[in-house]
Amino acid sequence: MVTLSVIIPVYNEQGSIGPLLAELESALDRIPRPSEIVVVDDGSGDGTPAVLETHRLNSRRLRVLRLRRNFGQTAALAAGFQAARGDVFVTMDGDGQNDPRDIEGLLADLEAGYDVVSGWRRHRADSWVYRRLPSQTANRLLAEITGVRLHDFGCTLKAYRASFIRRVTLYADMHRFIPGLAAAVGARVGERVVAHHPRRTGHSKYGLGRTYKLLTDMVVLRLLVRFASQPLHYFGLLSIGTSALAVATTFLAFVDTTTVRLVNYSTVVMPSVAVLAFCLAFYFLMMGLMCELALRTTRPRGGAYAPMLRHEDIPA
Amino acid sequence: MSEPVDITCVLALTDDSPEIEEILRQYAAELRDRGQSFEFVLVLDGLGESRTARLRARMPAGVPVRLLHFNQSFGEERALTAGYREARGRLVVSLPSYMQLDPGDIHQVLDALERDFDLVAGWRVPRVDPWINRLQSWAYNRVMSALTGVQLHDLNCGLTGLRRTVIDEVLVEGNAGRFLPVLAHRRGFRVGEVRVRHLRERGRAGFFGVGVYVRRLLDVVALMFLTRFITKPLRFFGMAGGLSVLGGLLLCGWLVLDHVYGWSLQGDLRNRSALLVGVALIVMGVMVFSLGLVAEIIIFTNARNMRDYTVERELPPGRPAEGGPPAQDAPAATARPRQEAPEEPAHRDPS
Repeated sequence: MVTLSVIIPVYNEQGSIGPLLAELESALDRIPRPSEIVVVDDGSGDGTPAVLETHRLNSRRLRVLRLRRNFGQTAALAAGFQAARGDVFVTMDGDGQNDPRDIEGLLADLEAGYDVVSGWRRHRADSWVYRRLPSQTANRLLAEITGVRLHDFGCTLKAYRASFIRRVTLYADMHRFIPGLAAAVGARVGERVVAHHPRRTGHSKYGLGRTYKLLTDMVVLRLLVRFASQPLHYFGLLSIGTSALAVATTFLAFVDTTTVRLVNYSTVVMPSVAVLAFCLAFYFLMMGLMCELALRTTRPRGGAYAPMLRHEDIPA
Repeated sequence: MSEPVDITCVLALTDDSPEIEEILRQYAAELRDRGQSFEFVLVLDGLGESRTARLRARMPAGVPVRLLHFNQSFGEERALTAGYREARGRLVVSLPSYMQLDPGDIHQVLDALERDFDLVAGWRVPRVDPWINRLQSWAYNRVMSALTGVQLHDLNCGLTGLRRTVIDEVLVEGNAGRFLPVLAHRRGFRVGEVRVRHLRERGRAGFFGVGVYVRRLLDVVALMFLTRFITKPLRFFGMAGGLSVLGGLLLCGWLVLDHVYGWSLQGDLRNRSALLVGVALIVMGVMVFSLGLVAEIIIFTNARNMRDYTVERELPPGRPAEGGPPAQDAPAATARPRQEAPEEPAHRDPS
């Protein structure tokens, strides 16, 4: 009977993963509940598999999953969630920057009723320009978009209730957005300050060149969080906005320009803008209907956006 | 009916295939040399009653052949897909439907599969067709390998060998041909190629024709889209739409400033048809962008049914948990291949 699963995605961490596993095992020994460690080897090409194999053979709780090639952190996490057997999941980085001793605190928060508890690396041990500044900006944007007041969306050290996270579909680069998606389905999201160590060995797999991806992902997140179950509302709003623009330009096109000299482009400019804006408004409406069509014809099996329910039975 | 065999050879027949008897005989002889069980699967792409009857009469004796019929023609690619899907062998090899290659080369493909590859493509060297055709297909293969990152020299060879698992995990309707190596590579399968001897080539010399070029170009577009953006369509549509909007804004901005400051002589905005172009660019960009949003919603809705990673193996802890019985996955040191999609058995048994 396993009740706690620690899930660690690793990619080329031969120097870090060994010490981390040793620390983690002793931290888990102190926690009085059955636990397992699920390490997902995301197609490492260095000595990581050998290190994992050594630890696995000497461990009572280490399970090792190997993906067929490098699929990225989200896929590795999804594979881990799929394989883990506990009631509570804790995810950690494989680079040793998270501290296993923080797990107890996260578990206590889950006991207190949260569905997701996210670590907050308040004192980050990373370069300011390349890691901390971009991540602060991104975090503020994410908090704004999702409405979840977290300081650190990117921290991998998080604890989840298994019943909740199994319902969230993870694909592409979604792992950063789990708290946002969680809040969108009405989960209670909490935060706890955790330690952050400098990297022991190896080098960071992130850099600055992700801005475009992050930006488009945020647009998508906003759409998914607020409108995934009613896309027509989203596109309908866009359509109404564009229609208003079209009506305004039409009005300008036909207004008596002898008195309003400023908008004296009416013969060409305003009519063409008005026509295109009308087209766009119509197009948005059709897009929204198409989304409804796509959504209503597939039946998501307990999709991520059905609101969460909490059961409470009152004995007679 | 469905006892497993070692090797299944799949042929997609789109015409009368005058050499089919010869092909079956020669490849069967080569396969008998290997001492493994084999079967041939012939997919008849809507050949009609009389041609099918003639074909049936030409089947050589002593060669296990299964015929699969389409009632109308769906093309070679879909016929091949159907053949792959029905194949029962552990290894599956597609064969050209005429004497394109030396039958003895099938050993190379099968050996490479047994040894260290999951999918092996044939590479025709030296090519026997005229230089103009060689040049065209060289260019095509170069472009494709640059775009996909899969270093293959010959995507159009009729001889491809693959393991059953590749079919189970990668094959979707209509991608059996040129795309399969690329998609398999993306799934983390080991993709290789072997040199095969090119005997002759069907089809005429010269430029392949506009239709072929258009279809190949669409292949490239589809492949780029499939390999890079399938789970994140907004990254693609957002890029296209964003560029369009940006261009439109720059154009309109310049026209307005020009109108205000009169830099060029025809500055008056009323006379500038370029304004229409600018506005149209903006509108088009917004449309493309919102298409991306729609695609995202569709992907999000279906994400539960598509898994974009594969677990190669899963290993339990080496020592039993304290107090309890040994882990349920024992014996400990052996890899347990993980069942993909348990609700859909990989091997369908009609009985």
